Amino acid sequence: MPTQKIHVVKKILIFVAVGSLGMGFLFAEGKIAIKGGTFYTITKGIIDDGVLLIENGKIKDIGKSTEIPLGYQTILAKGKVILPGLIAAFSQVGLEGDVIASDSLESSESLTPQMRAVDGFYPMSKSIARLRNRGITVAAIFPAPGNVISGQGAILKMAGSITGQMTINASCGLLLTLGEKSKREGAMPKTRMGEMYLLRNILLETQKHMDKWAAYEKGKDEAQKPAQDFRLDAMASLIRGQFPAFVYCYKVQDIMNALSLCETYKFKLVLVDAQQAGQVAGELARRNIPVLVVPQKSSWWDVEKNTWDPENARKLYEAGVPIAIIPGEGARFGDEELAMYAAYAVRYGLPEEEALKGITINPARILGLEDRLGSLEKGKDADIVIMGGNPFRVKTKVEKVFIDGKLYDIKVGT
Amino acid sequence: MKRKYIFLIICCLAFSGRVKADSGRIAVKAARIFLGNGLTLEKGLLLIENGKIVKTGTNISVPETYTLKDFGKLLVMPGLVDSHTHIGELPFPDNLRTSDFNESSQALTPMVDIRDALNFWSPTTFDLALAAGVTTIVCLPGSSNVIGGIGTVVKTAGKDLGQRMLRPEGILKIAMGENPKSSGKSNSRTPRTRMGVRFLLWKSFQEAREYKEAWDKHLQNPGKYPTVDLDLAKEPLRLALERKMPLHIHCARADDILIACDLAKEFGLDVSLDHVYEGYLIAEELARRGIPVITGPDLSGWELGTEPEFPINVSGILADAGVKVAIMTDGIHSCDLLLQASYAVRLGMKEADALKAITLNAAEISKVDHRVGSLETGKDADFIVIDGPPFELETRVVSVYIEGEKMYGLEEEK
Repeated sequence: MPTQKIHVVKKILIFVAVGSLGMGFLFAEGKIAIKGGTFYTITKGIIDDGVLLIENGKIKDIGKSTEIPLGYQTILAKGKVILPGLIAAFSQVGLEGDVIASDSLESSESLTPQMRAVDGFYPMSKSIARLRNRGITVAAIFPAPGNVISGQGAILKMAGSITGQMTINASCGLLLTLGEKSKREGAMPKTRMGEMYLLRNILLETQKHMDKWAAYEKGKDEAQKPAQDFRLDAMASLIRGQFPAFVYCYKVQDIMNALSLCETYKFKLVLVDAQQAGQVAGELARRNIPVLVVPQKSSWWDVEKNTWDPENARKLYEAGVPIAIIPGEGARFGDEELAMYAAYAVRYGLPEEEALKGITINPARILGLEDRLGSLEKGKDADIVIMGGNPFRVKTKVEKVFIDGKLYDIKVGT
Repeated sequence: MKRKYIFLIICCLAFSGRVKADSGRIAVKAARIFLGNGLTLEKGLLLIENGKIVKTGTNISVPETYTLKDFGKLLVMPGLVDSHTHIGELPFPDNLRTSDFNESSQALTPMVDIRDALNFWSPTTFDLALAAGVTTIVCLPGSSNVIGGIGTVVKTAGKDLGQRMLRPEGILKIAMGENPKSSGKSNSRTPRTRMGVRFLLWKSFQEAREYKEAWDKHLQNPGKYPTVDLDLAKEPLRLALERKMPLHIHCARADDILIACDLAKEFGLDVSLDHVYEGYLIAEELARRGIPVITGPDLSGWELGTEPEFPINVSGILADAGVKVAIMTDGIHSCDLLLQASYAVRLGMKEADALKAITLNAAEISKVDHRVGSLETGKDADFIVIDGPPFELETRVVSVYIEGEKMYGLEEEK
């Protein structure tokens, strides 16, 4: 009798083992269901106690009573908050190399539109995991401000080890800097006049370059074929509207200078860390120019700090300017705290809902990726963050991060 | 006789001024009062007379002679103490180019005093600190020099400058590691290595010890030992050797921290260790040595060569190990001490420890706890009113009181 009993137990054990193996194979296909919890879809309200299905790196479905088909690994998220992956719209992550070596700015000249952040990007940088651990799944990396034209930005997923595979867009915009930060020692520009002259001059050269190409395209006379010019080709992409100019500027005078250039040459414009933008919010709203806002300065010194207005985000939002929230400047420790910076915008009057949009769907729109990123919607990339609670509470922690449907461990320091 | 009259007149003047400023005694009532010494009063009451706290408690009846200030649902905590800043050391608005905080003409400048550089009159960052709830700050010389000079402790507002200065004896600023090294390199002088830093420190204190001994002998037996030439560069160090002048030592890397500890031990100095980014690596050792630390600033990059892979809860680890911890902003322009403490809480520091780190611990380390740092009988009535839990990101400083007088107010409290 006892042996028979053991036999039955054995059978059950084998059944369970084989079964779970089979289940394991099914799970391995990357079919995941997140069940329970509060889903902040961003674009379609909040779903309490919902279900989200991930398949092939995309959001297959999301809803209050979406059924979980067979073969899905279910992650229970009761009591948790589920958000789309956060998007850092302006970052220098991966350009810092290691602590001492930096590849963030080619400062040999003032105008370097041909430089591409993606070429300085170090995919093994520990900072990538540092951002991911705080829920950032996508970052737009730019060369550092400092040149009048620093170069081209790129948009990357915060996971992987091969730059090409991480890259969504290798050329998403051109970084310009107006004001104190791009003044130089021993060479032009030493003033804002110099900065604007350099910009007008290169834009004029670009126009000539484009005209030459247009003439050549018409006649196809090989003798007239213009030489390729990396600098001017990059500028031509700007004028053709292939990407916007991201202009780093603090003061109203610099903002107005940027607006006047953009009016003459008709390029798309995004303002970065425009601390006084609130003062000309109506003008920016009328032209629908987005602003990347730093809601809280934490840097212990900053050459133009005196222009900082804590209520900038609120003023811009109320005027109808599209805003995205970015942390303080550059590849510095602390740039992973996007949610915290958004909370500071709330502290200074921005509604919570708008602050959330400012780190998800708004940057996705500004970067031209709203069809893929920025909200929990059917068909979008499965970049998903599970947090322990309200994203704006000081002690809320990121618990799980998915990028393209793949789950990443959260590693936190001692 | 004449002297007596003058004294009486001064007394009368001072007294009449006080009576006017007082305009009665104040009773402060709030939903919760954090006393700063670890105690919290629910529905607490503070009685204030002549700018000093005369009583604290929960069940005190408000005497008729007191004007009641009922803050309703708001919370009250001690005015914050920032134990390491550079506030007031450069014009505002302006930039680093006109700063007055590094007398970098030589590597050893114990003879200079930051009070000669503080600008109280034109619009200054004192106002920014005040608005952030900081009522007492330690203003220190910069860290370019191995011995930077004498710092001081001041209140961020108040009419009487004499009354605002809390520590006329001063605090000596020492700097180790990369900052004095880089200044040495750019000025082609010692130190260019940590070896040079250590050499200069030991040399200075050794010479100061000989100077002090010569003075001691002369003072004990003026007949036998001749008077000593007054040396302004050695006087501050002599006071330090007598433990009348505390030292704030800028040290970030673990080896610098330990060398600073050795300096304190060898010369019997009263020191605090500032920044201590790598303090978490030697927390037990620091606890054993019983030397207090001032951590931060965070969110704006650590000292060159000390940034770890992931954010580390330095303040929390040290506090848990039993080290007395204060938190700083190192503020020049940015003085948001609550932000720094919130970030420490976010990384895992206990809230009670974080609260002490920006109030009582900070006051004790800078030897001004006889007047500020906690809301206890006999101390200055410096307090702030906040509209939420102290470390929540959205919490705002509603108003700030120094010695019972409202110095800053966001709006009328309810």
